[in-house]
Amino acid sequence: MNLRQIVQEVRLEVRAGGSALETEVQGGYASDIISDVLANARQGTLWITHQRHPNIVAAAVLREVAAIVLANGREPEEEALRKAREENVTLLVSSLPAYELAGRLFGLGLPGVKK
Amino acid sequence: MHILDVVQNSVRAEAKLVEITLSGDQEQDLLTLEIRDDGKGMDSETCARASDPFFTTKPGRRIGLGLALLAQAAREAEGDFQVASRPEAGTMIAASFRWSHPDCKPLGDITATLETLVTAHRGVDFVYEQREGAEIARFDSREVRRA
Ligand SMILES: Nc1ncnc2c1ncn2[C@@H]1O[C@H](COP(=O)(O)OP(=O)(O)OP(=O)(O)O)[C@@H](O)[C@H]1O
Ligand SMILES: [Mg+2]
Repeated sequence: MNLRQIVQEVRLEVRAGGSALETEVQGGYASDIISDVLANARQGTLWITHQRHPNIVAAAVLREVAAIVLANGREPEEEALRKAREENVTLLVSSLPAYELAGRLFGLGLPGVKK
Repeated sequence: MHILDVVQNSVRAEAKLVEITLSGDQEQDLLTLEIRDDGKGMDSETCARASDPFFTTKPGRRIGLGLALLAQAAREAEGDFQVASRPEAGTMIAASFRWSHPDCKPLGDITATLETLVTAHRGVDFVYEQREGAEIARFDSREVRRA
């Protein structure tokens, strides 16, 4: 399943990096602790978070995640948005709470990260 | 919190002495972390960018998260973050937190952090001071090492 399909299926909105929507997605990971994401998020997965600051863009670049998804109607801070555009990081937002969003994505066949 | 990460910056800047102070003020509901070193310091341009996650002087890297994460932690707890530095004079990092804020990060195991630092960096001394009201606890690696 690629990002474009996921965006349509769970009605995400694209805030940055719309040019990379053909990227295949391998699974997902949810965390608000950046050090945890650096240790455990996998390349090519979706990362669900509530954090809105520019550090999430740096973490996404380091881990090469397919996209960041802000849950619960949160919007990225202006500087995070600017950085995401500059770094070509795909930044999506969802009005769903993180629990529901993860459930929906899991239901679409996107697995969690295996240790 | 990110004490270890931040102190590692001081070590990398060739500090001989790193002083870490943690003060809690119940009345002002304020927790303050200060890290001072006598390392090689930063010019004003570097200092201004130090907490930018896309700034680092580490060779071959583009991202430096140490100070960016501490700044974020302070901000999340309605605190403040400051870096002051001068070339050859050393660096001072100050982060404050509203103590009672639900997002105020736990400190982590400070004893373990100090132990790691003292054993990993034989050529650097570390002072840790914890203040709360009239109570002061202090660790000085120079005293331990002399013994
Ligand atoms: N105590 C210090 N003395 C001198 N320069 C410092 C000090 N702390 C930070 N810097 C400068 O600021 C930059 C950013 O520091 P920061 O800790 O945010 O990231 P980093 O150390 O480069 O990488 P990371 O912490 O992610 O391994 C450093 O590369 C260094 O140039
Ligand atoms: Mg660092």
